[in-house]
Amino acid sequence: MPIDALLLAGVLASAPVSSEPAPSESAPVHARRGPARWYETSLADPRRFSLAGHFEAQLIGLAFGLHGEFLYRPFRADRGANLRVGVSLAGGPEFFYLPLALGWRQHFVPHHRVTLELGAGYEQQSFFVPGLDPVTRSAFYGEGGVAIRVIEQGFIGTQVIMSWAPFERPGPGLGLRLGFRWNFGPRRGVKPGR
Amino acid sequence: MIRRRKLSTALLVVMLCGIGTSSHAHVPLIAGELVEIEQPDISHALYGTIVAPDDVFVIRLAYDEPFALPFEILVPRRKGLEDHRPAFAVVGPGLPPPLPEHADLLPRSIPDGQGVFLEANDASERLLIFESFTRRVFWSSGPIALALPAGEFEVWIFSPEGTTGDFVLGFGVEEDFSSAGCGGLLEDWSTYAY
Repeated sequence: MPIDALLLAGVLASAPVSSEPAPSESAPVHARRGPARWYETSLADPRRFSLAGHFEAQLIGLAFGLHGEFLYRPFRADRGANLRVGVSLAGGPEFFYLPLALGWRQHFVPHHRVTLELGAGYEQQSFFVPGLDPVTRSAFYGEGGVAIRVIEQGFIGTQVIMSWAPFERPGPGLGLRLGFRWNFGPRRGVKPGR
Repeated sequence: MIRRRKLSTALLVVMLCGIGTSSHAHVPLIAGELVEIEQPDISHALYGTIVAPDDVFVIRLAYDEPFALPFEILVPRRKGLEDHRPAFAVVGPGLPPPLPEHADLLPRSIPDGQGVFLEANDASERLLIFESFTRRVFWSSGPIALALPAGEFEVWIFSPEGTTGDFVLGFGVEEDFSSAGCGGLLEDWSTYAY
């Protein structure tokens, strides 16, 4: 092969394929290479976590209190599939109520301003009645709600929770929550809210 | 990613279906002047309120064969009902005649050829129970199982001391919720629960 042909091949191989200019170092991540590939992020990436606090009313048995929950997105941090751990402490005229929950929460259209929430899981419900030993039972719960983005990483929302304890001490549960959820980590790279 | 979304949806559906698991409890009833119980062997809870000191509620039971039936009378644990001690009397064939001290408490005379069992509900210490279905706390007279011969029986519920207030008579054994209409349950929910 002649030497000039070899030189031409070397120049072509080193030239950029695209005619677009190379991105500058100061450009934001999503502008340089499109939406971030969140599923490649660390399992401990803060963008996978949310924390929420609610006022809660239990309508069967009547009790009012506070509820807190911790959400973790195991698949993609920018999607709506969440593992949920929740705890409440409520009091009423007849008992104190302490449910511990482990379940699944799906946030539908999580990048929109209004997000639908649907979840289900297991709940260990404990009732503390003055004068009686604590009563505890296993239950399954389902929940549905709506959340509205009020700041970049924060939502206010309301949820309805239904539960059913099918085993030793059977019974239903019905509750309402109103509160705030905070998504950790910067929202940069996530689809903009609509 | 589509597979993960399908997995999430499937998990959610399975968890929600778990909530529909059926269970058993007392069939709730509202006390009237006279209530006929078609299936007295099924576990029932008769809710009522003694409004006037001389109120008497009657339920009628019929057995084709001898049967052992547990009874207990409950009062919601509330400060205003601390002194409310409704009693019940089971009246029918094969029961002993009333004791002299009980005869004065009974609101009606015993028909000829019949006897009575009286639960005066006058023990100094009352049993406390947590009713898991409605999440209510009750004082209980304590369950008593009566061996009854075949025949027709009446249960009289009254207040020997003339106190007024709510009561629940629990009786029956077999747990079968199929005869309790969901609509009626919801319609009378304020009677059963808060």
